[in-house]
Amino acid sequence: MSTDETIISPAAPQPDRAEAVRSEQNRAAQDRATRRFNAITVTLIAIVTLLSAIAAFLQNDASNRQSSAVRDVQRYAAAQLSAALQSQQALNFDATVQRDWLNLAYERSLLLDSGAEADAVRAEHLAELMRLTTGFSPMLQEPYLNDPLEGVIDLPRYYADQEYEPTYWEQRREAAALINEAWNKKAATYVTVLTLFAVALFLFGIAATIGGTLRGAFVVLGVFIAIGATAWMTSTLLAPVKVRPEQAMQALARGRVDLYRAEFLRGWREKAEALKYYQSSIDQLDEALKIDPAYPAALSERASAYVQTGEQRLWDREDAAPLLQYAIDDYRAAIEQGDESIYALWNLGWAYFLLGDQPESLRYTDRALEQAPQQIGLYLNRALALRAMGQVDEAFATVQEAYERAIDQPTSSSNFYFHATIFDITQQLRAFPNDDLQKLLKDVKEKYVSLRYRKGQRIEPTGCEITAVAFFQGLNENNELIDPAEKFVASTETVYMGFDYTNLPVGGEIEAVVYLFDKEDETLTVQERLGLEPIGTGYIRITSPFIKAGGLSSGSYRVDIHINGEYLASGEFTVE
Amino acid sequence: MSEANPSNRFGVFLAIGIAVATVVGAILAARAAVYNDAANDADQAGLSSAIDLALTQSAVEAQRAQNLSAFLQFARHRRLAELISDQMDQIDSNSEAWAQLDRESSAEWNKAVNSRYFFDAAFYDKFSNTFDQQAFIDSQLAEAASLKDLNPDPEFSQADDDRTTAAQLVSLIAVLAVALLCFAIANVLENRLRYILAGLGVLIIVGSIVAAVAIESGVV
Repeated sequence: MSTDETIISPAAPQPDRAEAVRSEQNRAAQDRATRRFNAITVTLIAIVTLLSAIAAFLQNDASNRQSSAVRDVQRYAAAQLSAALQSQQALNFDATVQRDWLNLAYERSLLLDSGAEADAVRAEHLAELMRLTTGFSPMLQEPYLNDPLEGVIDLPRYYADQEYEPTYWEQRREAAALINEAWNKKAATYVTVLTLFAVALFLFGIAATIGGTLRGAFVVLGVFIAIGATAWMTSTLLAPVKVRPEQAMQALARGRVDLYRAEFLRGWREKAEALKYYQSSIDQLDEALKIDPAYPAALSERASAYVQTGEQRLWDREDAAPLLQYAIDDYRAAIEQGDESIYALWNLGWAYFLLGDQPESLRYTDRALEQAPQQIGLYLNRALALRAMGQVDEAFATVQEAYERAIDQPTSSSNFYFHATIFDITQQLRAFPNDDLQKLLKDVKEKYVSLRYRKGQRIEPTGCEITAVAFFQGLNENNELIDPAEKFVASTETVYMGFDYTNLPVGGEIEAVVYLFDKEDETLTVQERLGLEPIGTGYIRITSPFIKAGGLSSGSYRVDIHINGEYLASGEFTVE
Repeated sequence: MSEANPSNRFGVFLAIGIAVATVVGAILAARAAVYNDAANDADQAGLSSAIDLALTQSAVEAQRAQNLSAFLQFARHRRLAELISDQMDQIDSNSEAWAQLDRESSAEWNKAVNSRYFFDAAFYDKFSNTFDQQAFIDSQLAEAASLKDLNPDPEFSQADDDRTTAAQLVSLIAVLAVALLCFAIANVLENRLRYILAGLGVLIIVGSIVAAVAIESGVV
């Protein structure tokens, strides 16, 4: 329709021009406001898009670093496995060569002792073979052996040194795993941030398409989300990723080598040397912790060195409290820093036990038990703590539980921990005599004999009594014990232990468990069926398993006599 | 046909700029994904090599121990046979003692010969009477390396390079987002600044494309 054809009815009222202008002005103002609103929205969308691009970049970067770290974890795991296998194979070979060398040395010493000329020539042949053999194994060379004929192998040093490579690679793998964890967390956070930015963009988009006051609310909500996400992204970006320094890992590996050497020496009762290497280990671990104060493995290792030193001091009736407190502090710090291993909890419980804080000891031992309910050693530690708290019945019940578990589901370490507990209780009793502890020791010994020598047969009271025990140097022609003694000269081949008994069960079995310096020497154990009268005197022979090899080792011996597993008597003698 | 409004022309220009930035960003994202994928593949290949290396080293160590063990037996029996022979030279060859030593020497020599079959003779030096362990290990490793890749480092380096390239490309996407921001603000503004922002956006796009080509071609 053209404008010329417009018909204006004369009857219609004239439109209010002012109203029209106002309406036009309002519309224009609304249009301006909408344009301004849309301009702000578009700008916000652009800003959030830019932030999203930055978040995507950071996510990609974090994801890449995480991928590299995962790769390193796997790579170092392969290297660790390889190092462990190679080390084990080298150890096996070296042990074989060592055995050959020792056999040659023994044969040579016999030939030299004979004094015959032909034997001297033969001994020289063997000396030549010994020299030849030492060329085949690093164990038989400097610094472990300084004389191929008369030298003594420094086994603690040799075995400790073999620990270095596997430990080092283990630490590298764990360090890479930490990096992986940190970057994985960052990458995941950036994905969340990106999602939040997407939500903000969605809200801005909605606001641009709808009218009314609600659009303002959408924009405000979107801005809040974008600000929050930006703050989260920034804090994630600024959060440091912990990289464990190489020097710290090397220092830890050195510390473990020294700790291993100290443990070895302590096992050989070379206390002074052991303490020297405990201290050296602590020094190395101090160095590791100086470089990386929150290094959980270094804290745990140092704690282990402290607790073993403290334990030794305690058994020697010296003040161990400061060392044990250091150990506790280190274990706790290690746990706080993420060491979730059962060993940290187990050893922390033991450190508290040694310090005399039994409730804490029980607490951590129980926590370890939650993780490893099959570990017999933990039940036995628990029993010791309960006994120390005066809960004697519960202590016996816990030993019984350990025993039942060892019968039902024997772990490879079951016997070891019963054995170790006998040693620990014996040391405690030497330092702090106690009747309940003595009874507990009897119970543990009987259960140990049941597990070790009687295939888990229950120990029942036999009614037998051993009224006296004594040691003798020999037998006369009538097979009667002669020359009673408590001290025997060096190189004694056989010691006779006599005992008076009553009510010996028919077909009973004797198990005489022999301890040298409180540690069982299984090569000396006597296990025999008895064909004796119900009442009388019997004897057993304690003989070195080696023939013409210097007799029984020098040291203090204790012999426990069990009849059908029941612990009945004990006696002690010394070989000079 | 009427002339287009300058403001509309500018709007169309901005729309084209935004579209180009978006398309370039998408291409960069796709290329970054390709590089990340390649990096993962290289890592897998490297890990495979690392595991092969670990297995080979363990196997070679076991073989070394076995060979050396046999050689130790050989060397000992042989040396003892020699020593007994030397001893025989000192006594009457018609005596019973000589005959006894002869039997012993022969027995030792035969034991040495038996052991001889259990180590790799290629590494036995008759003149120095030694077994070259290092040469044995090196040759075993070289043999294994001739059949499979035992050096993971090149693959891991390639993976790292690919990831760096991907990261660089993704960083360009962030730069392109700045161009988008410039275009968006230029669209909102009504003064001369909008032309400057639009120009800046174009510059960023061009710069990003140049940088992307440089990254792809390995210049950067």
